[in-house]
Amino acid sequence: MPDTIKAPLILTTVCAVVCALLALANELTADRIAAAEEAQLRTSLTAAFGEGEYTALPEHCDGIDQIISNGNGTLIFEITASGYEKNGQHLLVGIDSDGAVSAVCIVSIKDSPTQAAAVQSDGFLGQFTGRTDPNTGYDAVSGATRSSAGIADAVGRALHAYQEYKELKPDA
Amino acid sequence: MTVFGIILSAILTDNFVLSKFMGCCPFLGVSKEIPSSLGMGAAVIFVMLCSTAITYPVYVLLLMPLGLEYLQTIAFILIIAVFVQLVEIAVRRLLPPLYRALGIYLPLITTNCAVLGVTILNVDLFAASDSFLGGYLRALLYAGCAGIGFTLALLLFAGVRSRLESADIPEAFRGVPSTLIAASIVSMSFLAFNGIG
Amino acid sequence: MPDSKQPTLWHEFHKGILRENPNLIGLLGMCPVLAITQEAKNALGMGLATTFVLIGSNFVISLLRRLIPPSVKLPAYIVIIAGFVTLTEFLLHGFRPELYSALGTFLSLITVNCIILGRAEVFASKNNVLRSVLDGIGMGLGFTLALLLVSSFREILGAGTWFGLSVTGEYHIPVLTLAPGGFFALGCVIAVIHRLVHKEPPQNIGCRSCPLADSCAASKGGCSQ
Repeated sequence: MPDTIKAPLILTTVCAVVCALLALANELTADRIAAAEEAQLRTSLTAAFGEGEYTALPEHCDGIDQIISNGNGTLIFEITASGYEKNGQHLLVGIDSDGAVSAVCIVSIKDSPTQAAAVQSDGFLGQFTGRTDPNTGYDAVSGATRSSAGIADAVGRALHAYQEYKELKPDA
Repeated sequence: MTVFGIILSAILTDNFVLSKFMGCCPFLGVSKEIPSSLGMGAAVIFVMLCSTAITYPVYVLLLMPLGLEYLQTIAFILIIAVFVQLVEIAVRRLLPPLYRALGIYLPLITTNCAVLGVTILNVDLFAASDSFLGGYLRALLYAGCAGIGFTLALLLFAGVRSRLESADIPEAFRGVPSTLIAASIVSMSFLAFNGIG
Repeated sequence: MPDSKQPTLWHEFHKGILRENPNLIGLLGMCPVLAITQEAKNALGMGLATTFVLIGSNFVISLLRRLIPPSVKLPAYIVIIAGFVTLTEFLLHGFRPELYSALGTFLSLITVNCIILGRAEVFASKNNVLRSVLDGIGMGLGFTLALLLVSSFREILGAGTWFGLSVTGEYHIPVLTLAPGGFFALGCVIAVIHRLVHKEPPQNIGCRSCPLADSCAASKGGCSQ
């Protein structure tokens, strides 16, 4: 077989085999991956908002990944925010039935380690508790301005989305 | 992300080489003189733009609807490798002066973090956009600016390295270690852009 | 015809760890060493992931070395390497999600790590499977060692911890955990390692160990000037 035919043929075969094997691997690991992500979210939810029945709501708001209800009147907004790294912050912002922030929980954060530690402190996150107005300012952690901005932005988004949701479903 | 935000972050605050560490090998290898830096920079901008132009639609219009997102790595690197190979052959035959200016750097960019990195980041950032065209144009803008940022870093560094030639450096650090430490200082200067935007 | 003196299996394994360390001596694969070395824990994970891909790709490429024609050698190797990287992505996402999100884009970028393509081109395509696997393990461990050295430097001096355990407490230099720290730490480690193995520090990022040296015309006027 001349090389001009043999070479592309072999290359195509290699590609096809690799893709087939990957499809197989995908089948085998997909459930495991979904379970791992579910578990990670669950751990964060229970750590921040206590045990309970968490159900994801079908409504969708701008800037929010998911809205979760804990059955007790608290709505939890799952948000991906950008701090030091684009889309590096995965957060949960809980807003209770009075429209005030009940807790801000960081699921995972890809910012640089010193910054990440600084913004995960209760001193920083605590300032958002009880907040109802999305336009309130915030005190950033010095040396971690972008990470602080990301989290504050997420809280603002959650409060906006809460108001939007309340307009959609006033008696929820 | 706003258009201004994209331009600012790709060139300054999230510079591909000095902040994200993608594309270090050509950065450290080719930055000795301004002409070669310009040639390399031009080649990088060109490859980044064209790779994004091809890989972004492939991901959004082909892989996503078929649920084959996991084939992203293979598909992207193959597309980049084949495309660069074809372009190099074309440029060598049709435009020899252009080949001498930037064609020689093309193979080096193929297996390079910067190009594969920019194509992956583009789909991470923009593939979930509501409109395909909006996302596509923003992705192209990001790719172009990333290349410009790379070229900027390269040119600045070429200037720094020409000064290093005449510096008195301890023996153990001469050569690559001092180049890396110089790069760290240039990177530090870019950190100053963090407050913007 | 008498067999020329072949290096021992032990040599194939341990050469990659120090004397021919692909990263510190060969100056390959620098992007991950600069990017993922803020915490020793993540650097270790990156090193082991890369080693896994390297062993796998060396194994397959060595197995298929007589079947792949030279004209499509490079794309074929790239596809095989990309396949192993995607497999590693699945495994980490499912079994070690924290490491998966810590590595981020750089996990996919293992595909273009010069070390892997370099070993495929220089070694696995010309040697039998056993030697290729040993070479892969050795080079991978050497790379992991480089990652650990640089990340320990950055984490201990930059954040005061090591693998998350507090070492120097309050006294640290935070800039080392940021971007400039990566370049600085690598520069220092390369200088020290070269001194230890009694070699001159490398003057240039030359093309000698670059996997694309044959096809790249830049070697005649680009990289090594």
